[in-house]
Amino acid sequence: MPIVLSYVVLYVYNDIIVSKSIDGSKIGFNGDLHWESMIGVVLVVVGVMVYRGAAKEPGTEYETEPGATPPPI
Amino acid sequence: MSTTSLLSGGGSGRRNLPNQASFATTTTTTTTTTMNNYSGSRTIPVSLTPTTPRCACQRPSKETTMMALCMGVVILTSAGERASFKMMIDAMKPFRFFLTQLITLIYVPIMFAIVSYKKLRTPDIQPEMEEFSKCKFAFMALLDVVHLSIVTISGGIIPAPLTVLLLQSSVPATMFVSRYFLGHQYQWTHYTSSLMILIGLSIYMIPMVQSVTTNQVPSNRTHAVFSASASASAFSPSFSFSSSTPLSPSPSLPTTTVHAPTTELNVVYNCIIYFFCCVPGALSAIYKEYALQTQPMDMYYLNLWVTFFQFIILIPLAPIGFHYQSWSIQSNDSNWSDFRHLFENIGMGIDCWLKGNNPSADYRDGAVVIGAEYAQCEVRWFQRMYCCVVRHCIDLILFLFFFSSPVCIVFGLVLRGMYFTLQCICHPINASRCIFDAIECVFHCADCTLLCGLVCVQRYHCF
Repeated sequence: MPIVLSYVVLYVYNDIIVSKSIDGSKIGFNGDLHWESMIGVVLVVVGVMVYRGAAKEPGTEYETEPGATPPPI
Repeated sequence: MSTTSLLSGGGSGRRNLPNQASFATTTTTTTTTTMNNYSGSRTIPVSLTPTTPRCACQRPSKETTMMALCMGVVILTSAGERASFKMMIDAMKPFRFFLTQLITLIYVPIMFAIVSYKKLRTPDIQPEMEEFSKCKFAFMALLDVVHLSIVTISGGIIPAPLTVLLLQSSVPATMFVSRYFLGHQYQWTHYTSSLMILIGLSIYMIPMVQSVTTNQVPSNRTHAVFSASASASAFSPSFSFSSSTPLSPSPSLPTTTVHAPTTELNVVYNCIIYFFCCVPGALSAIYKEYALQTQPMDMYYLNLWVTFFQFIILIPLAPIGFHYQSWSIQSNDSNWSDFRHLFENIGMGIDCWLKGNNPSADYRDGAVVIGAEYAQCEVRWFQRMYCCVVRHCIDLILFLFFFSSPVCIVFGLVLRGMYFTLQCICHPINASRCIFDAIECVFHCADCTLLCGLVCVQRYHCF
């Protein structure tokens, strides 16, 4: 979700709000609406979603929350 | 703080790693995870009353509403962080190396305040953490600095939406680095999704490569080349200084063109460099995991040392970074490639940051977005502070004593942004730009207010 939101915001910023012809960062190519670009965006977003939704990654575990007292038996 | 946030799309690809200590890692981006040293954790009372199934028409509880609200805030701030980071780079395009130094420096006092509080008032900073080798902190900082410098400097020339996508390359990079250095085993879903990301990025860049190979550069695409030696009249009418006190011309710099044809090849090169910046980022994440496997460590203590070393390491790297910055502006621009102008560039960068003077931009309110960006960063810091308040229920005096300066930074930047916005509205040059900055400023004000409110509410409940 943040990826898509960031992409949309930056697309609006880059292509609509600020003209491409002024600043060096808005140059490069005008291919955001090409079919290749759209497929690329979809693949990246889906890839990240699949990765996040996949089984747990291996590695060292760190606590992210303070330890709760176990319930009494 | 190099917090490459997984949420913001620049994730390191590992959900269980401690946060990197750079802002670019903010940016670049990494979600803060708390290390396993919370000896002062609260005990959570457990209710033994049997739970009854909820009716579908039952109203959501306060906790659910608060959780949904917090999730929305996190998503918005994560997305806004990515966008505002790019806007910040654009606003300070000729001074990106200075910006890199500033990003690392601004986190040192913030982390120092948090660590000071924790060391004085909590048992979180244990002696064995302080005995941890500082050389290892320095190595982590070196890897983070390379990552941050590339993201900041190359990020200034490549198309804005592409930055979000290219940062996702950290997912496969971290996976492969972890696979080959630490021997972790992944499942086929991980490999498949990583491959999808790489293929997606390759496909996305096809039009760009085609544009380069066919050498079709539209005539209306021009590149703004900053020239400090050019007189005000040498600038095209579309350029203007952002304050009434323009930068004084430097006689030592050669006079060159203000506009020059864009080299798209240069953009592609920077895209490739930006893509490979995930390698030092992944190495940093994996090294942190390796070094801290058996070592208890407080996240803020780690970040304090790493940000400190990042700033120190950037100083001797200044000539290289400065040359890299000039190269990423335009290959045939020699104005800023000579590192003899380094200090002049830094001085003008400070001027740009403090006063909003940005001769390379067509709008005069660059400081608005810069202020907004730092307010955004501070919002993320507020999120962390919110967790801190929840855990320790600190009293108001200590809160004000330790955190008054960062709080002042936040609101000072927001107020400064509003000032520049109002100034811009009163003397409009680019109306759409002004409106956008005003909206952004209001958005950041709302962010800060909301999170401050959350902190206050939680504190009220604590007592």
